[in-house]
Amino acid sequence: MSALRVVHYVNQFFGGVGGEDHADHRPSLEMGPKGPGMLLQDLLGDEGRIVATIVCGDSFFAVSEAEAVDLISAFLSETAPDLVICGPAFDAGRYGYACAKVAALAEQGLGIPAVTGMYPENPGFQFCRGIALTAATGRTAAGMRDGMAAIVRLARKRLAGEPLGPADEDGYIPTQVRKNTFHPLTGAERAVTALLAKVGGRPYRTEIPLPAYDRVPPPLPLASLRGMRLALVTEASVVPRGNPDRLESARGTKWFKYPLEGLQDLAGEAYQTVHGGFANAIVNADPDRAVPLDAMRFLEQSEGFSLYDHFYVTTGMATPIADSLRIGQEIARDLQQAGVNGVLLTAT
Amino acid sequence: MRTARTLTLASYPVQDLKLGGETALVGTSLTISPARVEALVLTDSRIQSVQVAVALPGSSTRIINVMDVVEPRCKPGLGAAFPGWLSAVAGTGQGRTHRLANMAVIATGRLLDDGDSFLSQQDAVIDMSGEGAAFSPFSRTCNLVLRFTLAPGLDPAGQDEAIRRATLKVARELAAVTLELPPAEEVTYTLPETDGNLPRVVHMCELTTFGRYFDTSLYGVSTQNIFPTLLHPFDFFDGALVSGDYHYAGQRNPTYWYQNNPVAKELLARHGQDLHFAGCVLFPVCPDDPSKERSARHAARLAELLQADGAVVTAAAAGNAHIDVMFVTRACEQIGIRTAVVQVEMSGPSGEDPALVDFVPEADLIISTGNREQIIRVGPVEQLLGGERWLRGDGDPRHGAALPMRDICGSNNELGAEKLTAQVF
Repeated sequence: MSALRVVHYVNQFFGGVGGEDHADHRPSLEMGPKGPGMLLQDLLGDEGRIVATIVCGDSFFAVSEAEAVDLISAFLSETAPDLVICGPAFDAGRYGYACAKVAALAEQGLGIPAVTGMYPENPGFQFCRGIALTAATGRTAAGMRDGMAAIVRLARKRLAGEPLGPADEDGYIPTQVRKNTFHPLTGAERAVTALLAKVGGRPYRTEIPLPAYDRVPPPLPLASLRGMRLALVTEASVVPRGNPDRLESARGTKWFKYPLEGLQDLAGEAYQTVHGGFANAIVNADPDRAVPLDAMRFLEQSEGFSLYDHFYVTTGMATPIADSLRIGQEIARDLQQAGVNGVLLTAT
Repeated sequence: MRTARTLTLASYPVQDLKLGGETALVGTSLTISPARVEALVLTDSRIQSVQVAVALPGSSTRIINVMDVVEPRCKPGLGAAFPGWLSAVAGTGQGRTHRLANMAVIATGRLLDDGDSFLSQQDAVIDMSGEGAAFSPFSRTCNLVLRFTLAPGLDPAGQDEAIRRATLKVARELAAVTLELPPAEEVTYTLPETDGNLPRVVHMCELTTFGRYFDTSLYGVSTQNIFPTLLHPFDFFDGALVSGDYHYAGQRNPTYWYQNNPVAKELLARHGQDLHFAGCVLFPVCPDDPSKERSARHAARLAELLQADGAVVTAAAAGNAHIDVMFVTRACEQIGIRTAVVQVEMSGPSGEDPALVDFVPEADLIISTGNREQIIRVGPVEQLLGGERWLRGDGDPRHGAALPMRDICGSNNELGAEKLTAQVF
């Protein structure tokens, strides 16, 4: 079997053009390997031949991306590689961005398998996440040998169509998808062993890292409620008795709005909750305790706002975040169309 | 002077199970008389009928509507088992106990659905072969499946109590078949003093304590509103904790796993070698923030009284219940007791959601028992036991289906009994 045709993408520094003063280097196509391409060729051995190296200045890519992409696409079409390797970029931000973009271009735009590598915290990673395999490297070029070796291992799997092992085993930056696997040991055995390491001051590793949630800045409060239109929104699954629209009890994908005109409170005879996350009896006896229509009617008088004539309901129990985001956006749009200024959102 | 407590577990493994005229154990072959089982169960008039069937590993069998899984155990002499339910509490966790190993009594049935979406029975499946079998430990045990039909007019508590009591009676009766026989294996558990240099470890065990259908009993008493308390590990082995939890099958603790508490067994195996097993703390799920905090601080103080250096904190249920696990973890860490948490993930069907619904910065060591939301495709089966219809889905349970992991009995067990976990890709 003949050797793979490989094209290597590097920046101006690794391409031997120059330092930061040459960061505006226009993409050029060089024959054979350049700079760390020698190491790459060494690691590929007879499996692959670096037929060309694309050298592009980090600033050029950042500032004139469209033009850079056009030129690089042309180079890739011309050289027709079986595999594209980008970088590794380590912790360099602009280089990481360019590597990610070129790898994504190859995979998505041109259908050419591509692998890149960078430090896991390189902000460039998000531009090829889920699109091109990215080896997890160290912060600096001191890790070039390990980084390039990781890239080559991933490239082999990519070309063979082999399923990947977990990120930490196969050395790639995870897309953060969690998949079920079987471990050789039971959870109890793993827990005791890891705990003893922790107690003994030895290294240990969590299997579920703590998440970093993004913060949603709250809008400024209404200066005065007088004359404002307020609406009741809830995830407590309060619906007309019998749940005519079949709102789910868990993992909600739907939301509904039900009329409040003429009602002073929500009666247990007419409404119920179908929420699967709390014992339903109290809310079934008095639905106002989850959707406080009675309190709002009272406050309408004293505070001078008007209550929008519908309340909005969905189910927030084990609801995937993507669904929650969509439901929130759809309800928000409806609220805006209804001229609502403020929302009382009741949660369970 | 106190005498040192010991418990000898005599095991009688079962490799073959069939129904027949007489209940008897010959070698590893167990025959069970359905007539005997029915007679035993039907002494309770709350039970209208019971169907008795066998489900063997590798057979094309699907068991649905699983309520509890119980390992047959009883003590010689008066045949004590399941203290508080069937026997006196005195004598629990000491002396000798006989068990049928690799065997389980599986209670199935449809409980009254009075419309509460939370305190409700959820689908619970065991596939004895095929794709789904890998995820349930009970695909590997020889199972006696009891399908209960209850007399009309019972309230939820009565239904649950009748089925639980009947199941425990059958489990004890079956274990009693071993009383005159020599065991295949005997293990004597002790907790001797150690030299004082070994790290002291406790098992802090969360119980589901939400109320009917989502509950646990200790010595026959519901643990709803329990304060954190201590339990000797040997009491687990003698059936002190009985499940009344019919919520998600993957994550709940059937009685079987309390009886075979994997954390206690691991700690006992290593006691005197690289750790000192200092005991077990039970803690509930509390209904609101102040009570969660009160309970968590007290649980941590109990661990402190046991002079714990470290705690394995096992969860039960998920969501709200995981908040209490995190409160307990924080309370322990803040008084210098290091923790390892064992809990199920809720990472969504695609695995893209955050695994945790709540966390504290101190929870830096969490062992995952897998994502409960993964969908498993299972194929058709020849034999269906436990019921005719899914509780919550459409279609014939005999056909292939797309089951969420959380509906497979034992899959995400949060005592750490299983090897399923999740990794990042």
